[in-house]
Amino acid sequence: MSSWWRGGERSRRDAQEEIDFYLEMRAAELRRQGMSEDEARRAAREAFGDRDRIEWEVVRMDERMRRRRSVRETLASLLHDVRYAGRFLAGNPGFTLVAVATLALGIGATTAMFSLLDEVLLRRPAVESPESLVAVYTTCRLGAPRCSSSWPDYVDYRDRTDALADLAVQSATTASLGEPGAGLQVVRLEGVTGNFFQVLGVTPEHGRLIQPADDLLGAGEPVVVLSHRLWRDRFAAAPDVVGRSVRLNDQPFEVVGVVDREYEGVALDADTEMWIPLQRITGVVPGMPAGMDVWQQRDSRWMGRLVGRLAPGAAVEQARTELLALSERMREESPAARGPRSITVDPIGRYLAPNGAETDLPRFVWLLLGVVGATLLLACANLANLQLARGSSRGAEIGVRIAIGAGRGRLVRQLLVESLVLAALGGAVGLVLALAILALLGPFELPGGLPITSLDAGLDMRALAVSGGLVVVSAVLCGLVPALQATGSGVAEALKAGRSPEGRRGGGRLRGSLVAAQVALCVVLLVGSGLFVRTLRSALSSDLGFEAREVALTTFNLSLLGYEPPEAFAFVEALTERARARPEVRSVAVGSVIPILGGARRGTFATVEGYEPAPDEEMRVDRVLVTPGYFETLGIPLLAGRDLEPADATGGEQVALVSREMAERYWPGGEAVGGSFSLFGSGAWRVIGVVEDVRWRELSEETTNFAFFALTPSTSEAASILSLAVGTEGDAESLLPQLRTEARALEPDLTLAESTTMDGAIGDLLMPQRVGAAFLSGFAVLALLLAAVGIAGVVSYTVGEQRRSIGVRMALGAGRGEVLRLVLWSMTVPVGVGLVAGIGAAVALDGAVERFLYGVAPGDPLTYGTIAVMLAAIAFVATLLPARAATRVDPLEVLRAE
Amino acid sequence: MGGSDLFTGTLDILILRAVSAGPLHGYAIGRTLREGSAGVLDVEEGALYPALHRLEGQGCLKASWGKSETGRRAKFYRLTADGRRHLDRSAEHWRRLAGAVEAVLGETGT
Repeated sequence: MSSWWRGGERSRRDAQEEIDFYLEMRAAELRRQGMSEDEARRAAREAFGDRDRIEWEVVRMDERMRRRRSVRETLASLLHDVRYAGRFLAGNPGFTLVAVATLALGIGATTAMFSLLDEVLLRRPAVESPESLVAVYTTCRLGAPRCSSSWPDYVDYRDRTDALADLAVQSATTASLGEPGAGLQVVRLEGVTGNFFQVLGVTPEHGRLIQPADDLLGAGEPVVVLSHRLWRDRFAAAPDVVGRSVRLNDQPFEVVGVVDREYEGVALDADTEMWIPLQRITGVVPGMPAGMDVWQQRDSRWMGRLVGRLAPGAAVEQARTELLALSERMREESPAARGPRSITVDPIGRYLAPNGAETDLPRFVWLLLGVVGATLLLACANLANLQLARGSSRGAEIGVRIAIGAGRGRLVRQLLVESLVLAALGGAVGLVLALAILALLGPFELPGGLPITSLDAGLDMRALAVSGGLVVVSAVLCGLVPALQATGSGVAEALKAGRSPEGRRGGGRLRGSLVAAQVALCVVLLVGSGLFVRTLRSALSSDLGFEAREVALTTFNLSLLGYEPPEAFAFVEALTERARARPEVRSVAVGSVIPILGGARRGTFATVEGYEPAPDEEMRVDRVLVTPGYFETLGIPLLAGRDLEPADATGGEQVALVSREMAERYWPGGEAVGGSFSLFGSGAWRVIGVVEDVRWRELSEETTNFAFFALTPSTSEAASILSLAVGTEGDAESLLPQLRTEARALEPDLTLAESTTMDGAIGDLLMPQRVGAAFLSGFAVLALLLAAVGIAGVVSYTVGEQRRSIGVRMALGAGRGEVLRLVLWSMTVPVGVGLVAGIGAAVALDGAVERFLYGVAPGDPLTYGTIAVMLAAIAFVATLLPARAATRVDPLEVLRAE
Repeated sequence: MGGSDLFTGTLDILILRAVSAGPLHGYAIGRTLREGSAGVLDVEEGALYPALHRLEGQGCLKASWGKSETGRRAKFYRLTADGRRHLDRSAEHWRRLAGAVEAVLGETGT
């Protein structure tokens, strides 16, 4: 600023002097023509014109010129720096390649992970002011804060709160769309209250959305709204789709509109394709109690999520407090009703995580970003080290330039430009790499079963800005310190002394700490990957409560094809027969829920004969419907009593098996077999057997009560979600196509079935651990490589630098072993410090991964020990190889060179 | 504006022409212009200076401080290669224009 001002002052003085000169010369000319002194002066001034204006114009022009020139000069010198850098980098292709590749990997991976994080944690749902929306759930039991609500719950929450302006219901299910036999398709359906779209502030793209008039209590209109994607894919984006008739589970519905294309629900895993009035859902979904029951039973909880709009000025916390107080009041009003125990309120300012993954998902995404960020840091440390070594070997060149008068700032700038060119190249390659990494990660899933492809993460402006920032940061990180170091004092003296600068202590210490930092980062990444790999191994070999692994599984829902329970039961029997006829098949059974794979879980309130519950104890039992042979097929040990028999399905006494947990909780004396219990809304069941607890959906889930009942032609669940399990002596995977053929021979439309194997189901369950293990291992190997290269680089540089002193030592009689020991010793401190710091950091970061570990303690000494030993060994080798060069120093040659 | 452009163009050529033989300071250029040409500086002799500085900014002239014949510090203007090209092109243009005007005037005269 002040220099601008001084420049302006100079232009003004120059202009004044120039004009003064003119006026004097002109006056002199006039005097020579005979005018008096005064006359001549006045005449010259008059002839000149308006001096002030002219002077001002001249100064203005000069200023503009000067400014243009200084910009041009800066650009030119910058261009010169870039050209110089380009020449240098092109002249050192090995260095350039390593540097660009390292930076590209670091920047690319970090950009990719950021755009994943951006999609998962930062994006706002495409609804009107999402920050004033909340999701409301009823808490059903400890550890599951987000469960379904009943209609009476909903009405209470809606009408007895002030903080909520309005509350809507969204209840998800699936249905078959189309005419049976002709292009049947399973669609994800949501039953919503008439106010749902108003509460969200979503608009239609065509026609209209569901309105309050469509959804009067007990009288839902058969209308349906399509998602943009379904409209595009199934209806070829036909403009006249409004008014068409479609069939949902074989019932006629009229299409009234298409929802706005931007709307993608309020949760990350939302992929609803159709919306119908909530009041219609009982008619569409089989197995739902018909009539008014469903709207009157407080214990009939089936509405997945309630979405509320906060009243103007109300905060989320206010709604939470109010709803909690309400649930307390409701409990007092009707102590007999089972719950609600509590209420959970989540803000919808950002997309909701899949149910159950509220803490895991962000933690996991941050973990991934942390891993790649650490790798980027490592890459920068490595480059800084390389540059440091180079900076010193370029000491002579830099000394010359300082000697011919280049300022230090100018030199630092030039070296920084070099780093910036490198980083920019790395960034450009990194962007391509980021897209490749995202594509590569596509098939994997994040916690909550969220497929990465479904996130549609790409490189938007934010991601580009982040990668641009990364380029600058990494350029400064890997370039500034070496540049300052290289141009620091000592260079000139070194030049004068006619040799390369030797033994500058500062440089040595800096290189040492960079090695330590690299080793430390390596330890952290290796520990992380070690823990994940060991988790995978222990999970794959862990006790899941059942032994069979070679099991082919096919899940189908016959209600989607319009089957009634007796027909469905006949189909199940026929399919079981056909599967059993194959020679390699060991055992076949059908169940409504399968361990690990899951299925349609149905929790019901229970009472047990002879068991007195504690005052606040919630007695719930999960019902599983099975055919005889279920336990044998899956390898679930029968602990007491007997399995179901075909006769149990055809009447007589109502019998059931119970899980070990249930048996031990309600019959602590071990007298479960022969005992009796009742379920809400059904008669008494006699226990005929006890089976081992199994893992149903998670490796580390809490064991709960399960009871197993015979599937009969009259159970409504027969025409619902069922899984066929086929145990085989051979390979389950190869059995899948044959099973599909058998099933299709019985029912051509069973293309709707989903097939997998038990191993596949376990694999899917371990997806986050797999992603974590693959990701961390990949980057840990990379980190190890970088660290090894870094250490070797530093050692070989140090050796080269100390040739003279080594030569002198050897001339004085030091043996090769001694020299070798000396060099190895010089690396011991940085590597040791790095190991200790890395282990400390890894222990401190344990909390970040603990949730994803299974069967491995975070502080696992085996993992830490192995890694410390391995790293020390690698560091040793990386030091030894270049150190051997030191022992080949010929003392005579070195001393002669002096 | 047309008249002023014509004036500017004329003044520019005359200045470039004046320094084409060698570097001159502002006063010397002004005197040449006053003596040799049709009163372009009659209204305001100072108009010379903005023109000089503009031509310098355009790269037609290069200015530098030196000693005048009387021993005083003065700013000298020298024609650059760009300036020479500009002068040649403008002179050619003027000559053609003058020829055309001449022809028209000659016709009406007869």
